[in-house]
Amino acid sequence: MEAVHEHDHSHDRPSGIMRWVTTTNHKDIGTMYLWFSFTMFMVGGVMALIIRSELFQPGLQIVQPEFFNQMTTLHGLIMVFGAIMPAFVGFANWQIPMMIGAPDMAFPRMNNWSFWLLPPAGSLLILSMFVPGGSAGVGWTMYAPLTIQQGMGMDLVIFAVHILGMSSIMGSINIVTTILNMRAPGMTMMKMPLFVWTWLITAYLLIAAMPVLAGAVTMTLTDRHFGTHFFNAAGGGDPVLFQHIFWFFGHPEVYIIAIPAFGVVSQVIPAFARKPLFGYASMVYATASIAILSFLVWAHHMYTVGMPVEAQLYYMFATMLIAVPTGVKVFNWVATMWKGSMTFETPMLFAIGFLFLFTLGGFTGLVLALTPVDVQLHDTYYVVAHFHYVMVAGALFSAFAGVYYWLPKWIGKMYDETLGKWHFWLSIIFFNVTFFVQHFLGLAGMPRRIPDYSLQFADFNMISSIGAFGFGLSQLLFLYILIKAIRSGEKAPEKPWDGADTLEWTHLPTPAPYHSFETPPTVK
Amino acid sequence: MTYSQTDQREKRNMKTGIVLATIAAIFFIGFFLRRLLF
Repeated sequence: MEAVHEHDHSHDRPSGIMRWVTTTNHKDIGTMYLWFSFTMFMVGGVMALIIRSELFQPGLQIVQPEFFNQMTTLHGLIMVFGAIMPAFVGFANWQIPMMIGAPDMAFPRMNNWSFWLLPPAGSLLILSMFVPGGSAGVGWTMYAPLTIQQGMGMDLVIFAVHILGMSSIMGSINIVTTILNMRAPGMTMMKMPLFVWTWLITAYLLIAAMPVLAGAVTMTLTDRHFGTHFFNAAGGGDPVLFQHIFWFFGHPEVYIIAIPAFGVVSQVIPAFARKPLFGYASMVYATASIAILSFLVWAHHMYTVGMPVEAQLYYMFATMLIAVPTGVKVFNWVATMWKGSMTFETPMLFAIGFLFLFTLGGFTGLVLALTPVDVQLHDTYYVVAHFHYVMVAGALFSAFAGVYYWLPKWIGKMYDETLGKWHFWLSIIFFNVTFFVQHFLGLAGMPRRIPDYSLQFADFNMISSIGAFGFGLSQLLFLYILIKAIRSGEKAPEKPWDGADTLEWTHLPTPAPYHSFETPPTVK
Repeated sequence: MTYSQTDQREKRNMKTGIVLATIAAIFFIGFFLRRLLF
């Protein structure tokens, strides 16, 4: 414990709200990221429930079609940019400095700015509903030329995406610099915990992908207001160009969300299997391979725009190639558990839930990679089912695993294990009730992003809507568990998880002090 | 963490930060130039 400073410098920190506004401490900023993300998760969740309420029965009952389209758009944007990405940046802020033995992030002031850009951006997305014409009803993919025809809500969405992009780019620069320059003596690259490796790779993806999205929405903005014709066929532009640029960002974005989730699971599974991670080096190489391949497959999202068959074949095979490194990771996680001395506390349950359901989502991704199949399934509920298996059962379950795993280190108190297990089982059951049936709807031909549907889709839609409300209510239990742990949780032992062997568990007290590793530890 | 410690750390890391920001800027501008010039 010699790495911990005796006094916590509380004299140089303002109190009250100004502490949070002015803080440059990675733990404070991580906490703010996580709460912001949970708030946006609730807002995006309410939008999902509005969507599922309308789809409970065929016909138009609750909302106007235009508002329904705005809900699908905002739900997607808020969940991707406001909930999942900030959640993992929150983990990165809390954990990376502690896991590599650094005192804080490389650019603490920029870190503060990265976070404080998020609330205005999130507010813009929400406020866009209240301007004349409402928000953008274009889908989170913001395809031209529909974006050119929208009201001023579209401009607010574009501005929000710009701000969110700036925040992500600054956050990524901070993370890469911290990992490259601030590791403790002896912490070589191949000794870094896998969570740190996955974030290093993700941050590079963000630095290359987010500016491309910023470029795409800037061109949309100039097309709308400044007389350019990037995407307007009438002026010599090309709407399909938008799709190419968007998905050059959009496919890496999938891995920007998934790879940190892999990182969390790669910490949790060894800790509860009480064995070192199987195939550490192959995990690093597999993650890097996935990241590189993610930039080479973007047009598999657009098989139906009319591309040459040679291009379709290339994108099909390149996409299927991603299954190889992903398979390496899945087998490594399973091999880590093999003959391990396993226990099934809540973090491990969510990690195993992730393993099962993310693999299923990856498998339906492989189905969609097949061009002839995708031509049938494009824009159906099969796609909706597929990416919710990846985003919810993949990324969100991994984030839950991470919160339960690190919460004792963050607050020094334990969560209620019984309630945590209830949260897991309710989530996994209602998740599958909501989304498994959507595979059947998609196979039967139900298109996505519609407020009304043919009668033959009624039964599965009703089941899906019931599941969605169950899943949503289960997340209120998560909020209750968090508040209960923070207010009256039992004191956490120094190291509540036997198999946890990273620096934050072995070299720091629980809860982690406000300033840690001001004198770097030596890693052997 | 004092102001001067933060200053020193930011200065030490500035080169890496600028290189990464330049990469981001190239990806942002690159697509514009590609469309505007060719």
